[in-house]
Amino acid sequence: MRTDLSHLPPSTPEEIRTMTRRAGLDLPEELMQQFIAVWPAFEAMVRRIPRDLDRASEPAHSYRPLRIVRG
Amino acid sequence: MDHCGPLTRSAEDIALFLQVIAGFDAEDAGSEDVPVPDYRAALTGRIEGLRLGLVEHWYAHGAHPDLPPAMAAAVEALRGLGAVIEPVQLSSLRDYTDCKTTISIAELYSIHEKDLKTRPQDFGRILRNRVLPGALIRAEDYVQALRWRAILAREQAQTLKRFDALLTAGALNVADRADPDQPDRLVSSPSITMPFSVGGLPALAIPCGFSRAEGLPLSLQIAAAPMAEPTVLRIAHAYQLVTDWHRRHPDLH
Repeated sequence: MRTDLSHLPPSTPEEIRTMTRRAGLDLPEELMQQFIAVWPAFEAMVRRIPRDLDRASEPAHSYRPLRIVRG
Repeated sequence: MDHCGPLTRSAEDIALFLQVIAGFDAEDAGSEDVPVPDYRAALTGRIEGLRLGLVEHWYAHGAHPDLPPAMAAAVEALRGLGAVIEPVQLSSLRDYTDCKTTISIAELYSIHEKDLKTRPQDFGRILRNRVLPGALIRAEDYVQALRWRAILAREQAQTLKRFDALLTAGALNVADRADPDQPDRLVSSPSITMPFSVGGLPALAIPCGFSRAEGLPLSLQIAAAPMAEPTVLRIAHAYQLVTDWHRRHPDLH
């Protein structure tokens, strides 16, 4: 059974432009073209991450106040 | 999440350098408050009986053609010193690269966000195009990658219960030209230096040969359990006592 998102189609250049704009980035056209060229490789990496991982594997949601108090 | 450390001619120089810079830093959340060992004292030149796991499948395919034979020669040199070397299987290089890249680009973007929004043209092309993707990483991607990191790190920790250190290549290819217009290799192939960043293990890369076509160094990577820098240095130093790759220079003319 598939547990990642690699079955999804790659984002189109227009979708990449939209996502970038929504992230608050206003890139010059030359830099945007470069980003559109490299993003699919990074998108593929992110989509290969397994999605059925136990939340206890890494308690990223945890906050340990003693660490802050102890400096 | 990246590894930082000294860059020197020899393992002995690293031991001396590390002795000066190692120690607890209360301002650094990633710093461990543990005693600093005598790194120089670890350089005994003797590694007989050490158990070393060889992660060959990370560089067996898709690497520079001169790398596997150079690694095989390095393994034989270490065996000649009395190390006991066995092949070991870990998750794929692709898995480690996917996990590490997702985490690091999200964290890098959070560091550079202001500058990327106000003066993106001031970044070098390769760095900019490695950091900008962090803007599109979703919270769930980041958290899942952190969970995956813990699983991959445990895999390494379990393996290091059977071995004193792990061996693999230090790079899959020779160095690129210092040309900012070169394509970024991370986009096209996984990175063999990322797995031990995922595990947070001390790792050291040392020259183990030169490529025939380019005349550039090939390298061997040694990693061990957290805080086992003395073991890593001991192995590298012993290897450098019986080889001279670290003293040779590439002919760049």
